[in-house]
Amino acid sequence: MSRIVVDIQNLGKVYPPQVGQPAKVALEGATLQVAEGETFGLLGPNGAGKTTLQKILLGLIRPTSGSAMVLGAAPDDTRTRARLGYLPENPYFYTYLTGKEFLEFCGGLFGLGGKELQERIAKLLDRVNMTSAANTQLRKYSKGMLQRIGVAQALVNDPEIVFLDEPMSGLDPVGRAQLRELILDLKREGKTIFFNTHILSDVEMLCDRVGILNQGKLVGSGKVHDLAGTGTLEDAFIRLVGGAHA
Amino acid sequence: MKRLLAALGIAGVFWGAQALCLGQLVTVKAEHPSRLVVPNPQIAKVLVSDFENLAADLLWIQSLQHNGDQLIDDEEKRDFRGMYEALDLASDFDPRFHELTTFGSWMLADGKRTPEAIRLLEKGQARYPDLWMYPYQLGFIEFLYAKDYLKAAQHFDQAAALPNCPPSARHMAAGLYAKGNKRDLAVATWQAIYERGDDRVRGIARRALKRLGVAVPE
Amino acid sequence: MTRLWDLARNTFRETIRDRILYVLLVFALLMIASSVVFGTLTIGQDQKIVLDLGLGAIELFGVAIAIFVGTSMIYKEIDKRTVYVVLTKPVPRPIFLIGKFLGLSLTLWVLLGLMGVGYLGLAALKGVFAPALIGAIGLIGLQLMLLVAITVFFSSFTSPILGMILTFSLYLIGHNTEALRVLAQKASPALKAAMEALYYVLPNLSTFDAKNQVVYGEAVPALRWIWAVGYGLAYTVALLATASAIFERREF
Repeated sequence: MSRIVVDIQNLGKVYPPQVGQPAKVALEGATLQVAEGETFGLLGPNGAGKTTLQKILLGLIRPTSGSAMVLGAAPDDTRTRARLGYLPENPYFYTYLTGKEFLEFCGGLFGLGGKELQERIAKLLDRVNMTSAANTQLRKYSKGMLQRIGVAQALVNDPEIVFLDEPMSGLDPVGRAQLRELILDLKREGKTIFFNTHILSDVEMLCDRVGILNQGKLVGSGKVHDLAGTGTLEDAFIRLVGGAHA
Repeated sequence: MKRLLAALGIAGVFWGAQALCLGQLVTVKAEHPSRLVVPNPQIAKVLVSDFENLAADLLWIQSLQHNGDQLIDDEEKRDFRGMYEALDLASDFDPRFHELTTFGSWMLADGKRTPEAIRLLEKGQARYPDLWMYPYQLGFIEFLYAKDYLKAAQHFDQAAALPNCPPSARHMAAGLYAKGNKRDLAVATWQAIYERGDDRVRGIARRALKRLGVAVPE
Repeated sequence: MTRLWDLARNTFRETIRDRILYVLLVFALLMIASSVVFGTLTIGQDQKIVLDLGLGAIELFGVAIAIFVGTSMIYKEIDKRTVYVVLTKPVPRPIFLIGKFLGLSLTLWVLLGLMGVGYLGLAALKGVFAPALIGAIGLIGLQLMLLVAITVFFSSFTSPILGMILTFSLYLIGHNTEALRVLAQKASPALKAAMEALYYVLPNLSTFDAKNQVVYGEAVPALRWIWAVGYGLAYTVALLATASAIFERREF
């Protein structure tokens, strides 16, 4: 058994009441582990708590109960975050920067610089097929281009774990295929990948293991074919999630 | 860009309102359409927020404009109420703006408000007792408008003793002491003022000479 | 340290590329127009009035940008979710706030520098240049930095609109703290104590004002500079420290 790099124990998150809204339970008693080198897919309908869970792992929000450890440390430790990469959902980046400037900025935040960073950026731009648009301002990028530059920024520090939140959303079929290739590449390099999605086919093609989240609760987890059993993953998903929706 | 313009718009409204409170450039009371309206000094002094000089400039320009408007009007319709308050507040804001006080006193006296002209100058003199221009100007106002020749002579005397005072002060003092109320001296003095003064002062001098029966070509 | 610089430079770039420099065009037009208009309106005092107006405009333009950009810059990062990119990297939250503060401060100093060069050029052209004028512009710069710190402080817990209104109010009150003390003398004992406390707590922005003296050639004394820098720095550090403590607890 390889090393556990993401360890979530009994994790809960309640958003405090806002004006006109009661308190909202976003996560409740979630427990799961991800091992080094694994590609883990967190599956669930919109509003199930997937983004909340990732944000806790990245230190953007704090859990109300339970614990979350990434690479053996708490996520709000900056040394931990130096070893992570993150692509937020529907990313909005600084539109006034060019693609290259944006990657330089991101590299700088990891304390990288100089020739080493320039070489890395050139490689990353090539890898996400964005070299030709490197000197164009992000405001002129299409959705797919933004997603690809977003992947590049998530990899600028050569992270051990990559968190991707709905990476396929808004992409056309070609864009999806390209991004899928990229994720498979990362997987072959031995990176741990933790991604949120509501698209079953992506999970089937890419993931070693999945967790299914519904209304803040982890209703199932395991290897893809174990969960699917004799049917398809879709059947299992509908069985686990659909009941609550009916 | 839109955001920036909106921001500048809000700032404009904010400070525009402040400037209007200070200068009340558009406030004209219906019953006295010609009257110069001056903000409440206490409120103005809080609103001004370290922009005293600019507020004084605003009041000064407003007074000049008002003065110009009155001179265009028929003599009986001229209204110089509020002018003293405006100049007084302006000189409180910017006491070093000496031209404001000295020229302002011409405007007031010419508008038949001699006591106010004297009060304005005396305030300036109290602030800057070493400046010759305050007693010098007081001498002219006492002589030409209040027609108190002894007082006028004393003011010129006082001015002559202060540094950098032009020699004419001494001559004025001497003449006034000696001759008392003489039309010749008055004409000579106004002519001297007319010759040395700029356009605005000339206008005042020209009108004074006309009253004394001396025509000056435009 | 490099992270702080990267964040500051990014904010500087953002504001400069937001076509903020158009302000300079407005400033230039205002100065040219006013020197022509006041030359005809007044009787030889146009030099003095143009000097007053120029310094006033430099301060007001600076204050407008400091408040409007300052109150929205952190909100924008959250609203546009760019904060996710920055805070999930090894950037401590206080560094993020300080970086934004320094970036906007840098923009304002550059803007002040450019407006100042135009202003002093015009003063020289009119033959009324005095080195003291530079001192007043420098003090305005310190004041703007303190205002940016105030906006950062408010952005750590309020909305941009509320922050804007609060900062504007503080700007006005900050230039009238003396009036507060005068009023305190007339108030009842309990109210007096409260008002005197306010007098010391509220930022005294008159510390950073020399507009009314320098146009008469009166230079800003060295002691005044030392006091202004020290006071501004202490106040800014206190504000940013409080803002950081609040920002640390925020969730995104």
